[in-house]
Amino acid sequence: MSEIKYSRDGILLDIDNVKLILDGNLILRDISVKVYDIIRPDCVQGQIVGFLGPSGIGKTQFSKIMAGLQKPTSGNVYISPGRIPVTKGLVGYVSQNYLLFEHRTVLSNLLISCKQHGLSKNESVAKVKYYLDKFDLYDKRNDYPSQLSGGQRQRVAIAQQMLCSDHYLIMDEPFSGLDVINIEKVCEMIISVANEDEFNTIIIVTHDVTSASLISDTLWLMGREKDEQGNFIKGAIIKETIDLIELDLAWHKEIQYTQKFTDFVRNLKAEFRKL
Amino acid sequence: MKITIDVFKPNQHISKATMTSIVVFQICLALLIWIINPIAVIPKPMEVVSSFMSLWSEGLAYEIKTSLFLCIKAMLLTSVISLLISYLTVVPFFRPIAAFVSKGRYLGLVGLTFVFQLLTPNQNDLKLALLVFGMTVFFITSMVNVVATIPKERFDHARTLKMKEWQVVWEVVVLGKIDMAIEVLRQNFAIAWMMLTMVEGISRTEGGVGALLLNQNKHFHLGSVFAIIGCILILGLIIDYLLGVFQKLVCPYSVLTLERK
Repeated sequence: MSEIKYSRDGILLDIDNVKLILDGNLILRDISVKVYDIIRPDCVQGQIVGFLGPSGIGKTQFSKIMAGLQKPTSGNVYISPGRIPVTKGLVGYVSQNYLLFEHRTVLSNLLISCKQHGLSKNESVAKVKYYLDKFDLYDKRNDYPSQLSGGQRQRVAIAQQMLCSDHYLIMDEPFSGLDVINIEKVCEMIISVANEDEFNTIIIVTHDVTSASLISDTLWLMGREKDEQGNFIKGAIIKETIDLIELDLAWHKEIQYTQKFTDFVRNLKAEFRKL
Repeated sequence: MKITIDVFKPNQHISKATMTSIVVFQICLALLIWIINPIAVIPKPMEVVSSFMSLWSEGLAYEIKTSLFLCIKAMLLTSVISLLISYLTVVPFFRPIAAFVSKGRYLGLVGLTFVFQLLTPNQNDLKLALLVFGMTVFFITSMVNVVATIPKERFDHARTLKMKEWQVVWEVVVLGKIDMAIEVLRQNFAIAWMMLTMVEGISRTEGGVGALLLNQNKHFHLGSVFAIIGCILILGLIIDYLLGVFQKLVCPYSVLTLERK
């Protein structure tokens, strides 16, 4: 049981019975997930949830469905307020390779995002400056994306999506290709972005068990079922929901150094191998 | 010693000074071969220079101006037509049209001259039409391929920023590929410049370097022929260089990650 006081309020994101068939292949089936608004007294608490699954299982397709970039064969994704079906642009999406407009500078990449969100010129300048400072990118504002390191590109991509999206941000494999120090920095950044607003919800889709466990409040394990002969059945499903708050593994600083967290990650990795 | 070895090894970075030395050496070698060549019909450098001087005094500059003006007009017209058709391939309705125009590169220009003669009111328009046709079929082929090979994720990225589909086209296809469009334009200007002598030869009434070249050729003035060919080459190189500078000015990001920038 968690020692931290919290409650779960309304549904922010509702993934309702999503199924995806691509070129005749069943990729995803029966995926139903609800992400709740987490309330903590005297604290602005955003949500960070993670979808964990092995490579090639359809995680990227799933993240695109959540971002409204891929239409599911059946089912739908709804977001609050108003439980509206997700469409392109409603939810921020940072892809694996941190896409940016290569023909625009960092500053221009961020400003166009503000323009798309309908911000005034003054608001745009103020918000862009805030993110440039926050993500330590101010010196890089006149550089082109091809001049940035992987970590810098990722930060610009996150800032760009946050400037255009209201509260939701999906990150596909945010830890891939980063070293240990940069993974820690990304984790801190995700927590910081999530906790900027009560309704901010960061959805991480990854195969990095340790990092996802470190920052998420809820995890969903994606995998395939096996038939009687032990062969995988087509179509990834949600195999398990893990409430890290209830396990008292969420929101603790330096939790990664505790025995409890280490044991949890070890068991999860063992389970992960069977997916 | 190390520099000497490096210039003969693949993917080596060499200094600008070394590269200049290589170029100077190769030019000197080419000049030497030209001077000592035993083929009598090939005019010697001094003969070409003196032919050039006499051509210049006879109004070569005016012929160059005529040709340049025609070529630039053709290039501008081709760019507008080709880019419009290529960008419109984002709409399925226009894809067959672009594919059809692109296949026109297998048509012979000489055979088409008669058709163009019937369709155009004067000799200037005929030359312009032939050049525009000759460039457009290649320009569209290259540019359609540029548009078709943009990865889906690039379009999706623009869509995540709430862009409408025509905005996505503007941002990803038009602005995102402007460096490639200039590069294709640069390649196609070379094609037009190469075709110029042929086109000006078909209709010689307005002059131009092409007409001048063919006239000199007819009278077997090889010194003048070489002088005009040299002049065409140097002008072509200057325009190509200027287009390259323009590309770097407009799209500085396009050369940032090149190994040989």
